[in-house]
Parts: sequence; C-alpha cells; structure tokens
Amino acid sequence: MNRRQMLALAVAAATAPVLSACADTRQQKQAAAPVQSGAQLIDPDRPGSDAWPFEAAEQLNSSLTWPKTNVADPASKVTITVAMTTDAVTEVRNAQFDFFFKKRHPNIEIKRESSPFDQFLTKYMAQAAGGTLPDVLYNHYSWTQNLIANQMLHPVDEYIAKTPEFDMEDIPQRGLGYFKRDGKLYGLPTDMAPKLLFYNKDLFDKAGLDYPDESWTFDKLFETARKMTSGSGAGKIYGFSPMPVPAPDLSAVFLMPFGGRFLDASESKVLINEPKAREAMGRWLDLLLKDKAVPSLAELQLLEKVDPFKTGHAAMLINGAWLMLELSKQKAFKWGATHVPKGPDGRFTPAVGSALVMTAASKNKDAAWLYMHEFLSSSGYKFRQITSPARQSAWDANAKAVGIPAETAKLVKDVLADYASDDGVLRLPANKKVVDTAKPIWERAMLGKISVDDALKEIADKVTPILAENKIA
Amino acid sequence: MTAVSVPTPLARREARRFHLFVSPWVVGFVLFSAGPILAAIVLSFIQWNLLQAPKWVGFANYVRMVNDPEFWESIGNTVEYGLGSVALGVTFTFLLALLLNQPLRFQGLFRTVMYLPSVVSGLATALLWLNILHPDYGLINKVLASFGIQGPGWLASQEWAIPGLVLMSVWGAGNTIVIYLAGLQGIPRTLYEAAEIDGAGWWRRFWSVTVPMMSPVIFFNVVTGFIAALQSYVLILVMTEGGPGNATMVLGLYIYRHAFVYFDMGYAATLSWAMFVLVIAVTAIQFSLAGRWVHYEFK
Repeated sequence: MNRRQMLALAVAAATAPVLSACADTRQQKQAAAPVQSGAQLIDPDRPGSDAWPFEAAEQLNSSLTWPKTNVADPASKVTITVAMTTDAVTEVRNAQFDFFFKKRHPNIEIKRESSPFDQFLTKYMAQAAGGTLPDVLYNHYSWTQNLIANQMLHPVDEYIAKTPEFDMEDIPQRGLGYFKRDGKLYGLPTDMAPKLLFYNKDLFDKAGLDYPDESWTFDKLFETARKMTSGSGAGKIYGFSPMPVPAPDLSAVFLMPFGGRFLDASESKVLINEPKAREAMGRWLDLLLKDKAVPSLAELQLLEKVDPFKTGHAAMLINGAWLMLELSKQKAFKWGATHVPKGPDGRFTPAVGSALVMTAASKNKDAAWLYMHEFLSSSGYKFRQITSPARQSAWDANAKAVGIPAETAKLVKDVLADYASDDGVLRLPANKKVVDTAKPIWERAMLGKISVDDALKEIADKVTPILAENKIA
Repeated sequence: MTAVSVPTPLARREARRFHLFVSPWVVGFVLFSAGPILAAIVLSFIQWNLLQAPKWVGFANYVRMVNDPEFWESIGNTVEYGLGSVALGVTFTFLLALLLNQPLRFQGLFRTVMYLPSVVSGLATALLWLNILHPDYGLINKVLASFGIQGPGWLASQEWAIPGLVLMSVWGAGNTIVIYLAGLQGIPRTLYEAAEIDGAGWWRRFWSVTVPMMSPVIFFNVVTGFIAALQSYVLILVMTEGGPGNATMVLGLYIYRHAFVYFDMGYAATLSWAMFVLVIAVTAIQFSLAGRWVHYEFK
C-alpha cells in the first residue's frame, strides 16, 4: 500500500461513520418524531399556527364558560410572570390562552417564559437562589415537596376558599399528595393520569392470543410475555418493554401488587430487599435474563427515548394514559389499553401529574390566582385540549377532540376514580439521588454481573444513608 | 555583585505590546474565572442546596468525598478514559498528520476532510457514535463481523463502554492534527538531508529526526489532551448518562450531577477541587517525565 492509498484509507475511515449513519434506515425508522422547540414568532394580536389556527381558538374560547372567583381583578395594571415547560406547538396554544385571558382581565399583563423540561429545574433553582422566581411556576410532581419545605411556595387554600364555584371534587383527590404538606395545598395539577397496560393488537392477533383485560394478573402477563417473544436482531419482538428499573413509581406499578415497596411511605427506610419486593424484582430479572422477553440494555441502546412498543417491537407496555394521544395518531398498528394487572396483593397504579404553583415571593398573588384558576378550570383544560386533564369534567370533550376512543377515555376516568393514587410514588427531596444510586446497581443485575439478592442488598446499603436528606423539619 | 541589566527601548516596547495584547484575557480571567474559582473554595466548606441559607460545615465535604466509593469509582473511570483517549489520540493523530504532510495531489482536500469531524456539533457526534457503537447494527461490529469476530457490547457493556468513548474521542481530534502539521512543517529539511547523506533510511530518519524534533509538540498535545480528557463529560452525559452501572461515571459528570441535578453545591465544589488536584498531579507527572524524552533544539 502506497502513501496515497493509506491516506485515502484514512479519509475513508473518517467519513465512513457519517455515511454509514446516513444509510442506516433502521435508525430513521425507529427515531422519535422531532419535537419542535425553541423560540418562534407569535403574532401578539392574532396568535396562531397551522396546528392551532387563531379563528378556531377564538371560536372555542367564545363557546366556553369561564369560571368566576371572589378574588377581585387588580385596580391598575400589573404584570405576572408565568413559567412553563412546553414545546413550540403547545406554546402557541398557551399564547392563545393568554391572549383571551387578557381580554377578560385587561389589567393583568402576562410575561411568558418557556423552557425545555430538562433545563427547567436548574434554571428556576438558580432563580430561587437569587430570589427572583416567577409568580406562577410549572412544577413536576417530584419537585414540589422540596420547594414547599424551603418556603418557596404559597398555599392556594385561601384562594380556593374565595372561589365558591371551585369544584375540588372534579380533581382526583388521591393524586394530590405530591402538592400537599401539613394540611395545605400548594399546587393544582396541570394534568393527571394513571398508568395502564397498553398492548399491540396486531401482535396478539398474529400470535393467536386473547387481548389483555381486567382479569389479568402479573402471572398472566409474565406467561404471555414469554409466548409473545420471537425473532432476533432488528426484527425481534419483545413480550414486554421496558424492563422495570428503580424509578419514582417503581413501587406503585410493579412492587405494591406483590405486597412490596421500594421505600416505606415516609421515604425514610429502604424496603426493596424485603422478601415480597425481592420476589417481584427477581421475576422481572428472570424474564430479562432467562426468557429474553424484555429488551436488554444493549438492545435498548439505540432506542433511547423511543420505546420498542411505539415502533411495533413490543407486545405490551405499562405507561401513562398520556401515551394515548401519540398512539391514536399513528396508523402503523392497532393498539388497546386496559387495567394494569393484579398481583397477589391487589391492583395498583400511580396517579401522576404536574402542577402549577404560586410562588411565595410573588407580589401579585391575586392576579396569579386569577390566571391559575382559569388555566386549570374545566374550560381551561377544554381550551388547551390536553390529553390527560386533571379535571374529570374535561376528559370526554378533550378525548373526543384529540381522537382518543370513548371507551379508553372511560377506562381512564374509571381508574382515576377507583384505585389510582399517589401512594408509593417518590416525591421527597432525595428522590432523584435515590433513583440515581439504585439504578446503576440494578443495571449490573440486568447485565448478569450480580444476583438479584446482591443487587437489592447493595441498593439498600447505599440508599439508606441518602434517606436522611428526606427529613423535612 | 551582579550587574543590573537595563531594558533597551526595543525590549520596553515589546513588553508594552505584550501586556496590551494579553490584557483582554487577563481582564476576562479576573472577572469571569477567578471569581468563581475563589467562590468554589468557599463553597467547598459549606452545605448549600440553593434554597436554604448556606451552612458552614468545615472539612465535612472533604471527609465525605474521601469516603465516597462513587467518587473513587469516578476517578478510576476518568483516569482510564484520559489515558485511553490521550494514548490513542496522540498516536493516531500523529500518524494521520504524517500522512497529511505528504506532498500529494488533493492534499488540501484530504486535510479538510480530516478536520471536518472537529466542527460537527457535540450532540450530532454523540448520536452518530451511538449508531456506530451499537452492538448489533453498529458499523464497527459489522466490520468486525466481516472478519468473523463478534464485537463487544460497547456502550451497553461495563467493560467496553470506556473504550467505546475513547474511540469516539479520537474521531474529532482535528485540532491536534493541525498542531502536528504545523510542527512537522517546522522541522528543517537540512536535518533530513544530512541524515540521508549518512545513509539513514525512512525508519531511521523518522525515529532519529522526526520524533525528537516533534517531541515538544507531542508533549504539548499530551498535556493539553489529558487536561481536556479529565474534564470531559458533555458527550458522556448524552451518550451513556454514566452507565451502564456507573461504568462511564467520570468525575466531570459526577460533579455536574451533584451541582445541577441534586443541587448539592458544596459537595460539587469539593469535587471540583479534586478534579483540579487530579489535573495538576497528572500534569506535574508529565512535566517531571518530560526531561527524559522531550527534545528542545535550542535548549
């Protein structure tokens, strides 16, 4: 080989990765639809987009009855800052809400801030340190207790009391624990959804098996997952995806049906190495390592943030009801949803949702309440047409608007009314550290490096000292 | 008694120009770097979650760090990644620079192509290499499979995750190649001509002329390469988030996690000082060994 050939080879080596990636159609097929984000120009006089035309929004806004409160509008102009995490598409809808809100409340000016979810907490923790938090702030359910404990938030009870038509019963009460402390409510949910068992009807039809239903137990799920697993490589079909890992709702989805828990209810003691939790975790590990019925870490590597279920590579999935919007829009396969399976100790599912909170430092709390009240009213949910409105009175209208089958919408409402709750979902300050500590240990078990018993013992040993950070004075 | 040398007007003018040109950097450093550095010293002695008032804890963060097994694990991963990426990067880019230094047609095109990966954004690089390193469908394992070799799990494997990241780190080393090229072109032709007259072949000329003359450049790339590698975390965060099983939890990522995920600012500052000490120690070792292999022509 001469120098020229060597150089050409080196250049080829440098460019081959780019070319190979361009040619990899499998990756393109599995990649998620791009999420639009970033700044965009919204006409302040006629906010709208192809997805949310202004005329339709105007018509919808006029058709809705906006709720009343005894909290008076400000006598002179005030400006409130509202910080949310949204994508570019949703941001147009929120701008439309603000536009019509300002028509109803001419003395309230709104300054909107929108940040990507993965940057949101860092940004506003820094602002909290500087004492410059917005008046109204989006809050993920796992953040709120920390902010409450540090006196960053203002309770909304007094404002609810001043709003006679505020229907508290319209919101699932068992899903509000994330936002409560010492009998006070600090946040109102922007959305609320249970987790359900989703299944790919086409794969079940192909396998000649009955669809999952309310009678299913986890035994039946494990057995069916094994039967549904077939193929190899890019064409492999998994019975279930993804593998359960230490997560805030691990208990509520996977352990409580077996009588186990990750942590105790006060998040002060590790229980994942107790026999009942061990049984559940061990069975999942068997399904991964022995039956190969759930994707391994290697198999999931290229499916980052794209679940195999969504691409037709998994027969079953347990996920939030919010997934229905995405599934309803795709035509690649037929899908169904049903109750999560029962375990020996019963049926459990988390009711999870984020919230809007009012910050303690807000100088315009009345105006902030007027905004929160309307944004999170039944009409507010109907205007925004979100998939999982916390107010149950908005569910049917929203499901119809976004194309979710009526029977599935009814299922969600039934689950929220029946057994979905915040019990077992981690929310105290150390929850992220707990998950980040436990997950790598469990990953080693998933790789077959350590046994389930060793993994759970190590998790207990390493997580226990962290739980001291959950003690809130 | 020693004579005091009086600066000449030319020397004074040069000194003034030097201070003028260096002043923007000095001002920027004082305003934007020295302040945070000093703050980090203070922060390392306090406990602060951004929401509560800072609490003085003395050396508690340092004691905690010394007793933190994940810290030592991250140090191990960082050193492994640093050694791997510098050893492979310095060698590979030196060989490429030698090739790109050949007087061939399309030399400019070749150089441009080799530099291109350096201007690709970090996120695009991460996504690209996630593809390349995929155990089943990745380019590397496909090539290995054509030789009958079953490739490893790369980023999904605890043993191969760091080597996978090391491979990726070499791909974007265009800047290093540019520095090598500049060094190669600075070697006097007369040295090669003298060696040829003495009967030296290609290998002897390379080993006895090129390598010694390039040793200061190699040394520079080793030192700066190590410093950069020891601080790496962004691409690792995107590609593996420290996994699987903490196998790629490097110190930079560990600091980021404590600072901006757990908001444990005091401990994060302490870990930052550990990184500083690590960088200083590694650099000091390299300087202490430099006398054995770095050749300075005019020293």
